[in-house]
Amino acid sequence: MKRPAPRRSSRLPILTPLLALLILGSSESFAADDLATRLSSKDSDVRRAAWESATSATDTEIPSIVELLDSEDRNTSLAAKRALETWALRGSSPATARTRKARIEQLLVQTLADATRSTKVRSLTIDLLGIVGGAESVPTLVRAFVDDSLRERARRSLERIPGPEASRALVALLEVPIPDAAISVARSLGVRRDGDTLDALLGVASDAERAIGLRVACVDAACRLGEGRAAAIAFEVLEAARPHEPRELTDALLELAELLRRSNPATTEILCDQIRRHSLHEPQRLAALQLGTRDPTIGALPFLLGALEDSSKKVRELAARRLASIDDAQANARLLEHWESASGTTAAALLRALFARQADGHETLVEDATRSDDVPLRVAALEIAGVLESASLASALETRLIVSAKKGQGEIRHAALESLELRAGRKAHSNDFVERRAAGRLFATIFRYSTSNETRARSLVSWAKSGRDDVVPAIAEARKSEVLVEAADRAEIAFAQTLPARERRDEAIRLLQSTRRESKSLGAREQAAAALFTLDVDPVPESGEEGFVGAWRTAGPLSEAGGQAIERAHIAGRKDPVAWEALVSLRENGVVDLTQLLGLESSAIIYASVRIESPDARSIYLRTGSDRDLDVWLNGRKLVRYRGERPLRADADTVEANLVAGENRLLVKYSKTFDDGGLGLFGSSLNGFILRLSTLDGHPIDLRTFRKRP
Amino acid sequence: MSSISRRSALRRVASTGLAIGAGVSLPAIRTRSAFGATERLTVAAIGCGRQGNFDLRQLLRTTRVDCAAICDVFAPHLGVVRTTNALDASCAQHSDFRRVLDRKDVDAVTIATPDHWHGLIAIAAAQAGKDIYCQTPLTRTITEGRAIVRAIERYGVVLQVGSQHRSATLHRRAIEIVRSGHLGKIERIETHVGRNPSGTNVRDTKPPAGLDWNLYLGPAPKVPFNPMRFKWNFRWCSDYAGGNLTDQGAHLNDLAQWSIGMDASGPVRVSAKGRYPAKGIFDAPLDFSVRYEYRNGVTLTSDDRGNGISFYGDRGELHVGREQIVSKPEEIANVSIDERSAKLPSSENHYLNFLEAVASRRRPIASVETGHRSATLCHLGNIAIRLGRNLRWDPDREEFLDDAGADRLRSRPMREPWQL
Repeated sequence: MKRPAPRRSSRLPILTPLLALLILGSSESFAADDLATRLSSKDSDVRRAAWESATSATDTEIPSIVELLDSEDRNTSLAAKRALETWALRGSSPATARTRKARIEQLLVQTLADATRSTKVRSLTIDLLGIVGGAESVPTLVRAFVDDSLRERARRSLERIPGPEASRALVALLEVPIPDAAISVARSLGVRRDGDTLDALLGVASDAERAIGLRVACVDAACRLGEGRAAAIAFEVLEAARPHEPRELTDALLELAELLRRSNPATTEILCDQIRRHSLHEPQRLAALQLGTRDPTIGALPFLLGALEDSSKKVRELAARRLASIDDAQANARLLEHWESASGTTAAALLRALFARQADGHETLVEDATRSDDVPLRVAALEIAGVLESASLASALETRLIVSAKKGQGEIRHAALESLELRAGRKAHSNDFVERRAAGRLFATIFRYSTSNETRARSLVSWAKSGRDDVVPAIAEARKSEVLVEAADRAEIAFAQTLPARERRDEAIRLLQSTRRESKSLGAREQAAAALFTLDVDPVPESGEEGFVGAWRTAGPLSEAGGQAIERAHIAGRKDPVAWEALVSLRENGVVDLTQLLGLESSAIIYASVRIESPDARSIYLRTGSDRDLDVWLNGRKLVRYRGERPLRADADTVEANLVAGENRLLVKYSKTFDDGGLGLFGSSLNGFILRLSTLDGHPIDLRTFRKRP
Repeated sequence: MSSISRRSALRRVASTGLAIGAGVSLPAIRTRSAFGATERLTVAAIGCGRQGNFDLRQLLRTTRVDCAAICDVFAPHLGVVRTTNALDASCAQHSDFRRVLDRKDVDAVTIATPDHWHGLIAIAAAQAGKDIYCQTPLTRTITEGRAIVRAIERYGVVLQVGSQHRSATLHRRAIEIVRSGHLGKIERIETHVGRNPSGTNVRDTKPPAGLDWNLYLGPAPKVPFNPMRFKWNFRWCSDYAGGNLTDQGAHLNDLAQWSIGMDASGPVRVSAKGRYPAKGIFDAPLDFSVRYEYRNGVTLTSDDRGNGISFYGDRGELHVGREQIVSKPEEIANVSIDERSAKLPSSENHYLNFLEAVASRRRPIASVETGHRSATLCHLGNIAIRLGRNLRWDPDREEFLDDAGADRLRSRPMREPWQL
């Protein structure tokens, strides 16, 4: 690149060339002046070329560059910063001669040591020393540490500089009488992981006179060195920190345990057991258990049995899983021995372990425990009963679950109901009609005794699916409850759907049309309509007082190519080439909500179709709105084409259209291209379109006067 | 039933003998507390700007998630998120992520803060036992990445990186085509990650109302507020991020490594060029191009032209933009992928994949290791640009070879009181 002619900035401090002249002599001063001048140029290309050439800047040019860092002209100051970085970083590559690197460091150290320099200059110098500095930089960085405005940067650079000098300096700085600064120094030592600092760190950590924050930081740093002797002091500090327990400390102990695992797995196990016993935090106890009992052997039993008494259920459950995975036949005997004297949560966890190990006779243990007056044990047994496969005990277990669901309280009832739901769910999917009917009985129990509306709603629908007639009064009862009314509608639909197979088609249609007409739930109305379609029956029209067209059949998301076949078939009046899958009705304000159909696809196309039967040929207005691209065809003719994003509002586009007498075919293509990725341009979380018909004088056409079949 | 009858049952069992053999298939113990396929997950959103809002919205749209808390250092963001997602009063709001992590009712967190916070928050979240959906790039530095990986493993939590291309139909198909061998032996990959802005001089001002500027800076150097460091602009400041090389590169370079089976490894050589802005605060390089070489001979070039990824093999080439795949010969783009080995793990939706991983405790499609490796790749590029020299990298040890100066740039010492 051609070097631009030097230009002097009017703002260039006059001091710069003068200083250079005094210090360096005339011939070198021209070079310095030249680089400084170019860095001060108004032309950004000149400045950039200047700093990029600074790799080869001579020692004599550096003071001029440093001067410019304080320039009032921000572009000049930035150019000087870039030049200094270029010179230091690129000049310190592995290929650079050692003497040259030493000289760079020396010049930076000199600049930092010069107390007359601004904080800005010295800060940048500190940062650069952190990257290119070595032992020579350490004393000056330590002196900078004393300066409030430079302390943090100096510490960070010392943290980065490898070698014993920086470590020793940081150890000495642990004594700084500024608590937060000392803690930061300890943390820097932790990052460095220099084994030679262990004694110093443990010395401070074990000194009860020191602030607890500093002791924690020191022991944290010491644990990272992977020496076992840090553990005892770590637990001392942990106790001293009570009632607060710094997570960082337990985490450091876990790190120590991990480091020791390679050389001494037994120590890791002991240490993890200690961490599990001492830590107040559940995640740390879980992690300790996990680490200490990887691939557990019979030798891990004491640790695991201890963990069964942990206050955390997650820890107990993990211990039970670990116990289950011990590949040693003796383990069952040991577990049973322990179980005999255990009670409460320990007994419960042991039962889980015995079940998981499929110990001989575990079914009997579980069945007996479902009657225990030890609540945690009984809860565990009831939970296991939900998944226990035992042909001989199935009936007894179900009876126990039903009794516990009816008469039990709190956790017992909850566990029983959950297990009943699991067993009922399996029966409901059976190919055996009798089993499916039996599932209905269990669901009926859940509906009657659960206190959770969600569970009751779910079980009512499942009960209805079993086709048992005794669900009908329950549906009627549920309708009276505001929170169950929607479930009642869904249950009625589910029940109705079982009727045709039992020669009760007319009853099914009556129930479904009633739900279609009367349900306040849009989802239920949609489901009822869909069920009616499967019976080849037209549902009653979607409400259309304002002319909004609802109950659309949809296909998609599709690709552009997949969709073209639909368009061609529509235009040609041929049979649809796709199976219309979903049915979508109206949301508030007439919106046909495609959000769920689109899922989280960033780009997708959805087609929607509907057939409207008009009593006569007439001209109308077709009024549409959409948040994305929209195309609409009526009887094969494209009437609407919109491209882009916009707020989803009714009547954004209005076109005149001609309906024919009888069947009219409407096809809508909705295209969503790449998502906006955030708030949405128009603040709506709905994706979809709005379509309605009006007379030419603007009155909405009430579609219920039309016969309409999607 | 009394404990005596329990003991009698025990005796009955004991008398029947006990056995468990190796290879016995153990039934799962049902854990009610675990989030199962039909259960709901309670999340909190940490970082509620544009991307955080998007992540939360997508999770809520799965209808399997409740939001217990939202958190941002800039209070106005919280109002927007609350309104956009129709969050009711039961959803708490915080400015300090540590308060979110203290909450017992939160199962998982989303992290969509500026990049320099990702590592600290992810590690703290793991220590608090929370599952994590963390935005890309996973890290600001290389050492931070390894620390996150270790924390995730230590605490057994799930972390999904927001590398959504891994769950996007178009990109998955492209990767499957490459892995199936239809392009022949892959020789070269190009990713185009987009330009970084050149910046302008804007004066420091007082922070806007509702912003905790000190907490925004966190581990980064303390500086006065400047709008060019805030919100979207953080991307272009090396104190907080790595420009488009890490922003878009975390997605596209992730795909590149995935396609050649290097997503748990990395390149062995890096060379780069770029120039820094001549004014303003931004220091993400302009006109950059980074060249990576892998042990298997593949080269990857990542530059700031356009947006997309191209694969060149000895039998054809494939170009993937945001919306389409184009190939030479043309038919490659339409091939059916039958080779089982080329098939990618199923994931049609990145957020659902996260929820499935949380439920099953299995590894998500964008695991912490791959997120760390992809981010590392991008950081290597920025380091090479900064140092202006060719670098050799040992992906196994995650160290530069014979370059102690470059090694120091694997990390950035943090401002007190923050530390990895």
